[in-house]
Amino acid sequence: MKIHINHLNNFINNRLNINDLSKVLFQLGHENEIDEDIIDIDITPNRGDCLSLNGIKRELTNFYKIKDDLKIYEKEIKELKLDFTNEAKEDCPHILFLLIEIEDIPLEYMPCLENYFKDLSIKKNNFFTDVSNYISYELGQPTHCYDFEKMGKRLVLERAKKESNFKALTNQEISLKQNDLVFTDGNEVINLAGVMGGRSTSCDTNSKKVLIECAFFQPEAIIGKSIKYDLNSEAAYKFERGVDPLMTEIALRRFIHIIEEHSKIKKLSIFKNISFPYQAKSIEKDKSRVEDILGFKIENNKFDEILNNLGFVASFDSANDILIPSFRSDIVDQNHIAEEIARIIGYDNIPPEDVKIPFNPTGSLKREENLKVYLADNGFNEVINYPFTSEETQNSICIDNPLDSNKAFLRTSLLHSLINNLEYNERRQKDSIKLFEISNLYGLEGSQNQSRKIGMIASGRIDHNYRDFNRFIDRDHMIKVLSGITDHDFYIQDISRSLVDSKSKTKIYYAEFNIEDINFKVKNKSIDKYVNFEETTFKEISEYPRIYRDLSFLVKDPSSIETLFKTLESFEEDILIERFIFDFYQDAKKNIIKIGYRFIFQSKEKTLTDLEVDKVINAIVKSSLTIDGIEIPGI
Amino acid sequence: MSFDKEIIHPEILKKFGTIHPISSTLIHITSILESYGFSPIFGPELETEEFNFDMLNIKESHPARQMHDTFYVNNKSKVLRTHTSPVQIRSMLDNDPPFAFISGGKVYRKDDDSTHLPMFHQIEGIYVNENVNFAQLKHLIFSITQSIFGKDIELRFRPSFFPFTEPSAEVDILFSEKNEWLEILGCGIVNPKVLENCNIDSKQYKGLAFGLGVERIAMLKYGIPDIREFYKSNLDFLNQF
Repeated sequence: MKIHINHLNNFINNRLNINDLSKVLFQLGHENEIDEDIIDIDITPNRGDCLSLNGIKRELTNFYKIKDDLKIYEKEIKELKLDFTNEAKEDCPHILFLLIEIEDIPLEYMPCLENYFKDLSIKKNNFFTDVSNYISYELGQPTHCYDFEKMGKRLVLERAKKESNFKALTNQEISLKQNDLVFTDGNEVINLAGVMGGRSTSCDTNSKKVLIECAFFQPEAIIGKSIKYDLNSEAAYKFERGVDPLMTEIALRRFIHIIEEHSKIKKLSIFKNISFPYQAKSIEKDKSRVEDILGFKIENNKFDEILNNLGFVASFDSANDILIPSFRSDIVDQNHIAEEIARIIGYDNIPPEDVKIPFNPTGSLKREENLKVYLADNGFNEVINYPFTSEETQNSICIDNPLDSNKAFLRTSLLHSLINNLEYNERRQKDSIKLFEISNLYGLEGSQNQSRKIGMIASGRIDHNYRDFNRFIDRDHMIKVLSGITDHDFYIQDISRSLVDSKSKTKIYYAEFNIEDINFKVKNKSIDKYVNFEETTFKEISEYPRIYRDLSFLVKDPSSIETLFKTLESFEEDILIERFIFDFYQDAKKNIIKIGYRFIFQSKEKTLTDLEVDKVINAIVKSSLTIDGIEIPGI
Repeated sequence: MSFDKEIIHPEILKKFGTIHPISSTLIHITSILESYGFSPIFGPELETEEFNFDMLNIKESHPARQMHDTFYVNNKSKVLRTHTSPVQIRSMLDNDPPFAFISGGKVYRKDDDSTHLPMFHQIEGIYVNENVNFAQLKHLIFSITQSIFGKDIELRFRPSFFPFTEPSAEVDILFSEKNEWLEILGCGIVNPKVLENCNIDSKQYKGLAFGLGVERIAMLKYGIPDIREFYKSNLDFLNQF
């Protein structure tokens, strides 16, 4: 809901500063953003009454002196004879029609109307539609204008008995469903009630004789329609959130007043169809219950004053019930009254009260925590995947409204998710991949209905150190890892490379089993080293390829080896992201050591060239060769 | 001359794996809440509409129940839970007050853009007892938030709307670097209708409840700018934690 500060200031004695207004609205529960002189307010779905200038003005009464001088047409209006049938009284308990004919269409608008379009940068349509839009902004009551000359003789409001085609005034062609609430001329649909009128009867810039419909529709009759038919409808937005059931006649009289300011009215008559008059609601005045809910005492006068300013009727000197204003259909019980009081006082001004929950701390979930620590200790990274998959099995549950129609099933195994994760990382040049996921899985009825499983996938080098670099993950390695958590190695499967779209050729091993089948043989370990917020700060991930270079060092003097390691480990360069010893060979007879060192390069900004990498490598070579007893064969 | 083996052999460096930052954040918050006396409870991710919506006072007409917001499965027979609150409903039906529960885990909404994912994680707490009130809720939220973000954190409470709490609040923390308020949790006094739905006498008992988005907290704690990083399973991401 966008409001221009000047429009509010018309009603406020002291001009409001938009930043102050923003703060007050936040306190009241209306999130907002300021864009110069416009405040864009996010109204929660329970507060349809705030979707207007008038509604926001009412909210501010506890904070500012507000002028209430809405000018409306006050004379008696003669009765309109209209062939209207309301066959949906429950959906529309009351509805009014105003027939109005003007002499001339105004060429210019009066300031109040003109400023609305100018200040909020809203496009004008035609005179009647423009006034209708303004009334909706000012009072929150949608109205619909039919060009009377384009209408048939009959008008029926009903739940559609059959499907039909309908052209909305935005020219969108819609196939309406049975049971939609519609206005018809007896045959054809001319208006999708509360959402959008039809093209055939819509006003244009020549319309002078207009029938204005002003109704109270129940939110349930309107909800979901604008999204279902992709219609951008301000009216539906308001009806869905609830409009003031006592606003219809006021809105029409305000409509006449604005028309009158612009043109001579030739004809004016009104038709009222009230099936169920509005019944005022009240609630017991129970200040002590409200205090119990909030946890602090409120002065008697303050309690009444707050509510009265919000439009409730709470009498200062008696314990009578509180009358709930017609526009506050959200108020049902004492908890709602408590929220009203608390909002006005300000949640931030409520003193906190110490609370001790009378139960001893518990410890649980430790079994899965232990499992995660054990696997992380063994080099496995935990992943979490969406449950949506294209793989359908006999046991698969189907999603009725998937985000992606190619992934309309819930996975019944973790295998395909983990294969995808493996593939993703292999394509990002990873050569040592060990992943696990723990998740609930769901299937149709039977034993697979709900299970909690762990899946593990691994492929590539065992590790990036000189002992494990040339050893590859095999069945024995998987058995060794699994032996800490289960006696069974029959869970281990070989996965065909044909399932993975990458250049890697290393064997893939997979294991999946129920969490409840885990038989821990390791002692409880602390999770602290893996849950460390203070020492972990995320670093941006590069999307550019990695380049690696290997150097072989020949060490002829063992006393220089530490200097070599120090030199290599301390060498700093932004693009040098990883380095490790991948080979270490000691020839005791010859008294020499051969060391293979791998350097991995990657830039955050671009694809590196060989030249850029070689520059760093040359510097490394140069400083290594200054150490006595170090040679690089071939250089 | 021969080499002294002890000096020469460089250490065999073993690369450890990692626990997913969402898991570690969830474990961290769970342990904080357990220290206050809350007990973890668990429930299914596939829920009935009755438990996911009706029992929580989310009416048929509520926008959240539309097909564009919630995933329905098997011809609308169930939903992928949109919050962890139905776990609390199940536990409230099975236990007599007083009690204090926390439910954490995956939840699903039909969203997918740069700031919303179709699956994310929540952790929610509920405490029902006689004499529970909003001032106590504030104290508890202050205390929990300080445990997560440190003693100096600045908080703002503002009214909001949830069908299952009344009064309801959203809580923002002041993100000092940008001088921006960021929403981190929703909370409130349990709507008496929800207590009555769970056969708890709402005249005798009141409840306080709160819910946190785990991704949001992990993003703030670790400085992760993009929520989509969590579920790409990128080792360059995972290895950082």
